[in-house]
Amino acid sequence: MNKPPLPLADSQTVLCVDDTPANLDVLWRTLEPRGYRIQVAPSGEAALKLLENAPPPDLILMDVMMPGIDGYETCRRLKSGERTRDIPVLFVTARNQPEDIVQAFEAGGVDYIPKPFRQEEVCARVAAHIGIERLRRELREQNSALEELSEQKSRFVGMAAHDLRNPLISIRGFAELLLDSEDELPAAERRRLLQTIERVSGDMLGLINDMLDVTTIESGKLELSMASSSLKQLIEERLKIFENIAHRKQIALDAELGETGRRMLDGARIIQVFDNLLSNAIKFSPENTRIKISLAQDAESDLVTVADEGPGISEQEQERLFEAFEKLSARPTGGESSTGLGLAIAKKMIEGHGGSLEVYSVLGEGASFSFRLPREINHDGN
Amino acid sequence: MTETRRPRAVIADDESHIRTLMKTALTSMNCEVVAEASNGAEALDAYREYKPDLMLLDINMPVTNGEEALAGILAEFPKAFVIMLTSVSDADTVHRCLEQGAAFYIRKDTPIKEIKQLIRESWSNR
Repeated sequence: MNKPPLPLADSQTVLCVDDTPANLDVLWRTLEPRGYRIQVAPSGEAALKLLENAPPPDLILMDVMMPGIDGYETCRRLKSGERTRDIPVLFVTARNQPEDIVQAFEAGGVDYIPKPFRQEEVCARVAAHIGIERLRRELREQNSALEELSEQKSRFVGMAAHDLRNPLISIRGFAELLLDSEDELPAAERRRLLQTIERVSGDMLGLINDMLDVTTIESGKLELSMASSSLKQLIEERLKIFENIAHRKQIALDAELGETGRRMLDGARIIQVFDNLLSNAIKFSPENTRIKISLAQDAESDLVTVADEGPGISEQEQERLFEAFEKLSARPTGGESSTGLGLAIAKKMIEGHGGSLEVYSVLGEGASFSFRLPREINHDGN
Repeated sequence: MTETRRPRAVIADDESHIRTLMKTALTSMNCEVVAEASNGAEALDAYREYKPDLMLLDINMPVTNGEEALAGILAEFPKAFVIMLTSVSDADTVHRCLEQGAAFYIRKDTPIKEIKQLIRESWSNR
């Protein structure tokens, strides 16, 4: 019975504080066979000293009458310490007058066990209080996770509002200018203002659609409609659409598309991801550069890569790249807009397919984005 | 603005639609917009190159922000006439810019008519 308890992963530690070795021995013999790890301290001071550095136990059984500081005072000091205030303290004592009991609770104890005690009672109370404290800890953790989430949401709303505000300022301003100018503005100028209104409101619509996507993803309601499709065909169709946009910036699209056969995927979502990667590449590429688009296959998955010769992304910025509203230092080379949400969404869409989206880039040497889609999909729909 | 020569202006803002808006407003006030800049560093370069009579300078811009650009411009051209463009959230920065020597500030969500009025007033009080 005196062999040291095994440090079981799920075993709980009880610290017994008592100046009488016989009492400690009884507690040891009561709790150790039930799987608790036992620590002992022969005085209040010894207990406080032990807890300065040792990991806090799950519960403390505390004698009241001890030389030096008594159990009540020891408890009060533990309750005022940052590291020790949440450890439940149970008093075990022969002093059982009502005022003693009241004092025990006032000192911060959670329970009071009169001596002599029945072993079953000690065990039941210890188990109950460890359980309560575990639930309290879980609640605290959930609470702080929720607080963090709520802060994230506020930041998200704040950033979205900011990004929607300036385009609205412009739209209202242009409307005001057009209304006030009557016929003074030359037709070409009027047309330019109207085109800007059209473009800016299109950007706003894009941002709102992206925000709705983010909301859908975050609430776990992203549903993929999987169907058998050819990735190669899908990419070829998108390349035709992007050819003109790339051509306007003198950017060449070099495609090397291997034959990967038909596979299950959500066509609309994969198109959205591919469009995002390719339009980013075009957006951040200087004129007269090339973008390489490739489709390849290995044993388990299909791999799509879009590699540009743009400014590249530093390692620090790569860490933030896939987070919502992260706009990095590189700016669109042709005045294009960006919401800062596209890559965050793309990553989630690919993860919804059980795949992964990654970036490889060295600052100054272009960026290469790849997504890998496993051919066997165990997607859970979010 | 009643000078015989049209005042020459530079507009610095990272959002092209805001530049277009301010350019249209300034042009309608008989200003000539000689250059646009989309970040603080470009703003300083444009000021050096064009030495405009008037600059509209956004605060929240990439590379170097408007506050830093303002410091650079005033260090070289202490008499520069710079109006800061701001959003609601820039209150502290606005204050620092005015202390540095910006002529005035205009919140971007001010109606155009008032923006024009504010520019006219601060121009005639310069």
